[in-house]
Amino acid sequence: MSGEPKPSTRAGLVCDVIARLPGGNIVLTTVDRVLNWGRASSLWYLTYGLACCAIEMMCTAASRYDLDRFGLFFRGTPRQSDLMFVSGTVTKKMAPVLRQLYQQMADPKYVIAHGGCACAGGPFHDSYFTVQGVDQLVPVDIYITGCPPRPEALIDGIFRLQEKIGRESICPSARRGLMHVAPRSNGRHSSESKQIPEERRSRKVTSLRERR
Amino acid sequence: MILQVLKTQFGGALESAQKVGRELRLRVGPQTLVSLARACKQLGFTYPADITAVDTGAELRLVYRLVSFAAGQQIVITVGAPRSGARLPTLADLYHGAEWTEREVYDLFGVTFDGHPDLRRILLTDDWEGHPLLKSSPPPAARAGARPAPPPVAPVRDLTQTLTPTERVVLNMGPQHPSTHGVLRLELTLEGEVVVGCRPIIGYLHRGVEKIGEARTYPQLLPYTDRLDYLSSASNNLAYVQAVEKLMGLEVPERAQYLRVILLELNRIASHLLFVSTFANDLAATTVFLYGLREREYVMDLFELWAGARLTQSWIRVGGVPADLPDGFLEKARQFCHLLPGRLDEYDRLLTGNRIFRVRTEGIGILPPEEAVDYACSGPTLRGSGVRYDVRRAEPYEAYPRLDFEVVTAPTCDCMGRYLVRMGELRQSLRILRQCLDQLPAGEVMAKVPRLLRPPAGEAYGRVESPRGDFGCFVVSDGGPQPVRVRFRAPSFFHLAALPRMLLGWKIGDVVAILGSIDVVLGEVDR
Amino acid sequence: MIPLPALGPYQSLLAWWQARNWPEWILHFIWMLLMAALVTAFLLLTVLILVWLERKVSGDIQSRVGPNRVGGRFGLLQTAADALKLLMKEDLIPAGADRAVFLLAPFLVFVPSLLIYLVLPFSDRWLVKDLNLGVLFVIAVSAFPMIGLIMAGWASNSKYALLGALRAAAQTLSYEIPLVLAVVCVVVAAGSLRVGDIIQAQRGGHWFILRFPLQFAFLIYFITALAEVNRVPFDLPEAESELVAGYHVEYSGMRFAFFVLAEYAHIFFVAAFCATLFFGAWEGPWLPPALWFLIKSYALVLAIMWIRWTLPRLRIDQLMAFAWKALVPAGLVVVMLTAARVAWS
Repeated sequence: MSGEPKPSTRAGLVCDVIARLPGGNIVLTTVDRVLNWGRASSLWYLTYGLACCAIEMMCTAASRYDLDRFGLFFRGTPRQSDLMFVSGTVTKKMAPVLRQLYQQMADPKYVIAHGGCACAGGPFHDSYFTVQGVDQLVPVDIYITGCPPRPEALIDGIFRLQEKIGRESICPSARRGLMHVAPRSNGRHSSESKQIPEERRSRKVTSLRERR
Repeated sequence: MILQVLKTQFGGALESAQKVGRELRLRVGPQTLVSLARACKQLGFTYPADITAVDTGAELRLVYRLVSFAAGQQIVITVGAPRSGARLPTLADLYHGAEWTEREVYDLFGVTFDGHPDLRRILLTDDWEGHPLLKSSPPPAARAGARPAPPPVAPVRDLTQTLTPTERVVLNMGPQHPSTHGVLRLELTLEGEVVVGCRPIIGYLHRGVEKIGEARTYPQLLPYTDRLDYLSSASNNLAYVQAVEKLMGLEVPERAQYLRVILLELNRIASHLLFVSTFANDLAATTVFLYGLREREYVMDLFELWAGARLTQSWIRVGGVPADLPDGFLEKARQFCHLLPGRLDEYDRLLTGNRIFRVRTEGIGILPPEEAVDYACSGPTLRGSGVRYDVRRAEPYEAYPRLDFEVVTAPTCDCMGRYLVRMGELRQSLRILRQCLDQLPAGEVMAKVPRLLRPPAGEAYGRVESPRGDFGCFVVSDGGPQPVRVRFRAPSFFHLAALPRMLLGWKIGDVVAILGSIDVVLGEVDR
Repeated sequence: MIPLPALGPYQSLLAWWQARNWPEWILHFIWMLLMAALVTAFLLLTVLILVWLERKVSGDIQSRVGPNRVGGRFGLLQTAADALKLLMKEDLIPAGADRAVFLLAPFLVFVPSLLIYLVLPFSDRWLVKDLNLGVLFVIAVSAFPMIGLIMAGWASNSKYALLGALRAAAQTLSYEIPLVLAVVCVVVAAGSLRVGDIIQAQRGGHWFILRFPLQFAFLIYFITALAEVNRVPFDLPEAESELVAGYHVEYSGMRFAFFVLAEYAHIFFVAAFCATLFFGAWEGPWLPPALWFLIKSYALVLAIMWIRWTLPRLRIDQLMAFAWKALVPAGLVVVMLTAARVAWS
């Protein structure tokens, strides 16, 4: 008990209290499962189609592979999307735009780096104008390599993202045996990118929003 | 004849003049450039195909390529310039198509063009230091370990705060927008719903392929060409490979030529199907979007069966095609040829015959033929304005001289015209495909090509009719394993330069229709 | 004064209530809340079904499957997952947005869409309130969402939203007139603004769709109803390929969900109202009236969806030209013909 961090947020305290009650853990687990199911079954994606991978993403969303089967649905505006597919090479000219789009998305949000260029620069890794991997700009949840990856690979990546979402918890503490999603590392500006200082947020939702 | 005329007119000012194939290569000094260009234009060379530069180490060579439709010839004017601080007169008042290409030469090489209406950087960011394609700029840096530090990211200038002046509103379409077909940014000035100003801003997908090309061997560069116009990779491959084969004097076997044509036409079908899909999607006929992609899947099945890849096949290599057709390909291809015409009729019913579609595309986005040629538009954008010019007929290559097909044009110069040209080309491609499948000769699929490709010193230009238009590849070699300069002449680049001309005076709804109708691919625009 | 449904149960409950000497108005108030809750529940359920139906129908038209993982083979729980996710989204209010207006707009779009269900005849015994001016009430209230749209577009501090809002204003104003004209034909034919009277005039299979000039009134009503609910070919306020979601471009999470709720509620209402005006509402052989009501409404909803996934979109000036130059004259002619027919019979 001594090594565990004391929860500092209001949500953390509430979860702590519930977890101590008899059957509390089961309640929290069930709530987590339901909420994760909701989030994972209804990923609305923002097509951030930059290059060739965007065409494969379109084909994956089209009739043969049909992303709508899994609940994925295209939204044109970042405000209404949960998932950003970065499909294609990110250039230095595009980088600020990508960062801004990520900031405009509402939490909880996920990023899939689709294709070799988005993962680590791809064939253009030594160019003067490309960003070697989109995770230098935004936190990435899933990397899908390929040039371009097949639609099945993209769908596999989405399944892995759904599994990853299934491991999330509204409780920040790791006590309940769920996987505490590790803090980001190596070149990702997670805290910076989660800050949206110029926008106000409703306080009610702040308390429920899980910190990763 | 043309050479004689120019020699008599310019005499000593011509430092060198020779005829190589279809090209009349002239070299002049900067002071004669404008008068020579004007003379060429009067002789019928009204199409400013390309303006580029080569850093040979000793000097900067500016290469101006002008094409005459009637004569079927190219004039290539070379002008020497110092490697830094070069100043040349502009051709922008002579040819509209020179505006953007000169901006690109300024951006990448640092050449200043006197008299240019708007000399700014076009591909790189406005605050970029240096000119990357100069040999003095650092070559592509191979990384051997940790990734470089993330680039500094400046906040985007927020255009939405200035809403109060509502007479003229500046609306930013893109670079992320469902309808800009890639990362294109259009800065539209609107009065109500009417577009009164348009500034296309490109460079968001500038990956530096031309600079990368100087650090790769010839075979290594080939997959990069796929990723330029990624909707029809084979035509990019072919333009590059044609240039290299011209340098090496390679003769491609006949079977390989037919196989290349099969690949090219399948790519054309795939690209035009995607055009129909995205065009319909822009006009909110979402179902046709999915139908087009559904048909395209059959084409991609054929690609996968033969080349192993769906989108970027890299299947046209120097000397021919890497492997012959697999078993079952011919049947599948024939089945596809049976299937597609019915589906095309369905699109005709859903789109061409639809009143709403017609009202959204007829008479919209007029591009008069003379201006289309002056802006160096090509392909369906040009043929939709009634100009019957197709590189497959003008400068035939591969098996096209032996094949029977029609060059589809439309007289109306509007979005509907460009759409109809592409629908017609789909049917013509099927026709070519059927002929190839029937006439396929036996033989080798690859010529004898040395393992280490070292084309002899020289320069060559490969020209191909891609689904977007006249795609060209200019290769300069010094005999080594890596090219000195690779330049890709992308048709969409010129179409985007002509876009403001087509957009002004129309409404926002027309912007998407017009942009969709010229079918740009930003991969080739930005390279 | 008493809501029509379940008059019997209300009376017995009233007797029990008054036996305890409690004032009647409290029971009345509770009863009304109950009715409101029932209607809201029906509306939410309908929206749930309609969103799912849209995805399945669009999938079918587009040769694909649509949701088939979430909640069984048919993806029945897809909309529930969507709603759950939207509940958990961060509530974003853009900087520089007009905060009060921004927060109010979704409600102003949703509440009228709920309010018009007041006069919808779910069956021969289920109609919340048969207002004397039922039809007028519907027309008046169903124009309110336009104000909410404009508020949303204005308050978002985004040019796309503003353009969407302006288009919404132009479009709704243009299409109100032909809508009213089409409905006036029905009112003239029935002789009353009461929904109950309109249904009565169609009893016995003499549905208005079968009477001569009213087929055109149906066509005009159907087209203008599409414009009223902002469906393709009239979805300019939110033209996705042009304005990237138009008036609700800056809305996220539950606020955005309100817009979706309002839209689908209104779609169902328009279809049901069309069935009421022209197809005899709940009348039909063998099956219970409530089922007939649902069948007719859903048939029209499917027609609306079919059109949405087939046709391209009009441009704003073409849309307004169509309204003013085609629909309004046609509407006037149909009104005159209807009036003439009624006068002669």
